Amino acid sequence: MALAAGALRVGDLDALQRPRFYADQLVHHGCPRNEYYEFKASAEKPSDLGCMMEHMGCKGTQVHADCNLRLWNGSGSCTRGGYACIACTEPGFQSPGHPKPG
Amino acid sequence: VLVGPFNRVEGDLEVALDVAHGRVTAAWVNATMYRGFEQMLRGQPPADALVWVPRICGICSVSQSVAAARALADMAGVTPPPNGERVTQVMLATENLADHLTHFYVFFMADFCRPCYASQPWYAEAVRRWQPTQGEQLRLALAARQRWFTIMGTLDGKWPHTQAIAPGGSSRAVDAAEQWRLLAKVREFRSFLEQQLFAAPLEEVASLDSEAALWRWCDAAPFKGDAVARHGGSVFTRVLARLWELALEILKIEQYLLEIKAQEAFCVPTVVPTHGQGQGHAEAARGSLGHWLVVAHERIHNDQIIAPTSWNFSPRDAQGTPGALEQALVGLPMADDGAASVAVQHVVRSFDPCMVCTVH
Repeated sequence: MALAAGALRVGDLDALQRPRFYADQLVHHGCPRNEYYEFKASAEKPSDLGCMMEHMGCKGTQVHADCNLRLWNGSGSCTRGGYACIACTEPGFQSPGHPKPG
Repeated sequence: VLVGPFNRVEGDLEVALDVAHGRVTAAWVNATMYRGFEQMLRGQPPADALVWVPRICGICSVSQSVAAARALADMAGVTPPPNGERVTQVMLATENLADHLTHFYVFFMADFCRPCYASQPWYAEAVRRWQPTQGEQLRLALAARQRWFTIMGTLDGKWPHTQAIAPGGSSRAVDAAEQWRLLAKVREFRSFLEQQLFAAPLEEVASLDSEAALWRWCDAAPFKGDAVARHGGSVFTRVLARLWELALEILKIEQYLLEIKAQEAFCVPTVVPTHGQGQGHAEAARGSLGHWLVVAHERIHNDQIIAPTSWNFSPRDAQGTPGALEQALVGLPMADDGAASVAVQHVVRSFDPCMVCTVH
């Protein structure tokens, strides 16, 4: 809508041409598991309470997106669904570099 | 005559028809967009299937997740705890139900607003209810669907492409307060169905056990879907089955939500073996979905995926046997309007075409 209204300008985009209205945020912002992060209380498997960074590979602390501030359909986000952020707004997310099997 | 590409379809669908003396004599179905998911999955770590396969489709995304998680669970020899199974069933049913709702209000009934029906006594009412983007019932259904999908947001985090479904159960644990909030959302949607679609309690709809019972009920109920009822045969039964399933699924979802024991486990740990095979099945909105997974040296060796539309919209097989839609189209009347023939549109639409999973 902003684009159609002529309200989205070059300065409103970040270096990767992402609209800054979402790219200026981190997935971490507004994540309901933030307090677990602060106290290093980590989830070890799906359905656990706790921060998913340490054992479940959550990228939310580094990923630019406003998923936990502008919720999906008003009610959801990946971390609220209990699964790790896979950094889908960042370049190269589709090749996360899993270690090769030994 | 070449019909297509069809609109109101995810993916690309073409149907070629041989016509003689105003009747279809043969039909040839073609899904023209190839995607290559099975090829992409080869060489990936097995658990990553849970990230890849939901992206096969933005409509039956949860169904793909469920089939993939069950294939991994089968290979790993794990069984989700009862809570995990309950939440997974609610997520799957939420998607199924949305598909059926969308099919009826957005995809199927729109064809009864075509000008070729303008002389029918029910036409003005059909337009008032179901005219694309304008119809009163269509707008109410879209608003109800948005509210319905707040269940999907709560449990799946987002839709499509959730990763909340794990081989060991549900990554989304539901606490006691949420259990009741979710039930309240289901009741809200139940109210839409009972007031706008069926004009009757869902238990009454669900208890219809024969066609005779259906017609007795229809005669008494305003639901007698003016247009639907006039088109007998298999188009009628396919549409009827979806509507009936709306009533059945709400009752099941309510049951699953009530059965959740918030203090018990939702997921068990899963170790995916370095070598092995597993299969997973799920009942998607359009039929049965199956994943056959083979893992070797910690990587996916093959993941054979057969989707419902691969069956329903199958082209001829090696022996030349026509697929289900190809057979259903033979014998239909076709006037001078060619590709716009409304009978052809109704029959194709009654299978709820959705093509991206088909040539994945």
